Amino acid sequence: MNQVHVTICTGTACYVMGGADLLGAVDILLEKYGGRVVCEGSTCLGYCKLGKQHKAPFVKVNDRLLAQATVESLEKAVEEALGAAAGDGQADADRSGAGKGEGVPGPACGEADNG
Amino acid sequence: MARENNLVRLKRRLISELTSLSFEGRLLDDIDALPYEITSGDWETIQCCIHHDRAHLRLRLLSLLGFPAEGLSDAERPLKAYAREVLEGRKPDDFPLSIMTEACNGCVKSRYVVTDACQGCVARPCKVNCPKGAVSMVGEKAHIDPELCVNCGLCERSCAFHAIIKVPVPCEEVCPVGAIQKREDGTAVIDESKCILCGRCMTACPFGAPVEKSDVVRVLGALGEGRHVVALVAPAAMVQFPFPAGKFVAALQRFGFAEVVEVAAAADRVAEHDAGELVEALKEGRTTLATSCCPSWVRASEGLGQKDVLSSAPSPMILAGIEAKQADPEAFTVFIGPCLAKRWEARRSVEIEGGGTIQPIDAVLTSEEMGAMLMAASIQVSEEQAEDLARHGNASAFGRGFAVSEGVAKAVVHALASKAGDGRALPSFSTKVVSGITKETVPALAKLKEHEGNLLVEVMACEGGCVNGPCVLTAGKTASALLERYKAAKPA
Repeated sequence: MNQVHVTICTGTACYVMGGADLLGAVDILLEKYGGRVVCEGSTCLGYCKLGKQHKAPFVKVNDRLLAQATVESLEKAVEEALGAAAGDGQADADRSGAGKGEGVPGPACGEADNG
Repeated sequence: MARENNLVRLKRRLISELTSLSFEGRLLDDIDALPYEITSGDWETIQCCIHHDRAHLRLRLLSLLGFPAEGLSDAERPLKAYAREVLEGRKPDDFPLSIMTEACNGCVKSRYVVTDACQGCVARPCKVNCPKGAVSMVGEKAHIDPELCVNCGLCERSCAFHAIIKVPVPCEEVCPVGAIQKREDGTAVIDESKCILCGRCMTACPFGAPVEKSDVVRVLGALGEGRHVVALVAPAAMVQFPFPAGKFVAALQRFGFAEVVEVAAAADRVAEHDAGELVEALKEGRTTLATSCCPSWVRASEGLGQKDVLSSAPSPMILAGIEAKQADPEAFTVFIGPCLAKRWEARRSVEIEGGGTIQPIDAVLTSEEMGAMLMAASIQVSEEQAEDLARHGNASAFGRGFAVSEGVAKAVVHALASKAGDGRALPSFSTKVVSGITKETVPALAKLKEHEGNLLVEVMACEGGCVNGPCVLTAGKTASALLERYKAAKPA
């Protein structure tokens, strides 16, 4: 079974700019999707160091980077990732309406999508 | 409470930007450019135009500098001039809240409106039941005349289609003491004599009109001058990051505080004081004793005629400040907590034993402000080497428990029990915990003195205690869980 990995940055910038509320979303995700979603907190992922502190909080859903993540945009991204995992691997083709998540270039994943 | 929204983000960003400017020595030179810098690039216009947004940002910066943001009268005066005044030692205002009239929506007085769901029915219970004749039919739909409506709500309750809704005025709705007044144009004014500084209006207003007069720049100034700056950290502020409190202490040291002290240690002594006073009070025939650590409650007690039931103990903040100043009279003491009212309490000087008065607290930072300042300094709380709390106050679990409802009462009862160990007979009394000063709890608070029998009352203005304060970073529920870990923290 394909699992979706959610990594929530708990670096200071992310935590202060809304990450504190995202931790509350973890319960919602686990309740909704059970073992299909694996959530973990992470020390600073480094995205804020690119002069993009105000784009925090950052969350990664598999390899996709969400900026200014909200509980809503995170849930949506997880749903999309689950749909993609269940589908035929063409997930990347359909990324329209990625919630409020806004893309910024990240150090790890090249280009992120635009919400 | 979790308050994820654009206003919260904007405020934290502004605090962070101010901190960065100060660290880089560019505060005076570049503060006036901030509203322009922030609105450049991909800024999404909020008001009618970008110029309006910038005017608002300027006013928000003004309040972060500690000034009231009421009018636009001094629109020509650069922020630099205000900032210089602060850095040169301007005495901060006593009342720490103001309404940014420019941002106030002037929410409508009439709170009941007819929506499009109105079917223009035959029965017309809204019209029939209105005691003031305020409902008439305009075209095929009901209409409420705001001049005649007295907000009784009968129309709303009688409509079978739920077509009539109550549009609340958020600040008025949450104010427990009726301190919000309205001008002719609907904009809000705070009656400072009634306001208890609970901060509810501040978190409720979706326009961000009620704003705090911050001490951020005063603290940055003291740090920049190389003063001996001491951080006095409330127990609720110790649990705003999801990491051990010792790491937060280390982060504050890295930020520049020369010393970091657990206010919970002073809370232990306050509980002792309260316990002693309870014994004395009951002996003297005073049957009710109320805790005095919550400054909003202290303010409220006056208006409710209950001031004489308050314990005479200083609050843990004041006591910690006195101790810090006695250790070093030149210290610049900064209280860090999730509270708005503490800033008012901190403005008062106190008499000390042996004569004379001192100013125990020089400035107050909220947990939100401190978080944004750490963000500006790129300090990762998670990566700090945890400090041994035994060296920063060594507070007991009871003192640390002051941050949550029931915590203070438990600490006082515990302190009493240890007094019983001295062979003294304990008075019998009951305890009452008031968790949150709201419209609902105010009537009972006004009658505390009338209670029959001996009573210890703990009152906290915020539901659940300080962990649910108006200036937190973390939801109260999460912080309460983190507090358990802080309470159990043993010396490293």
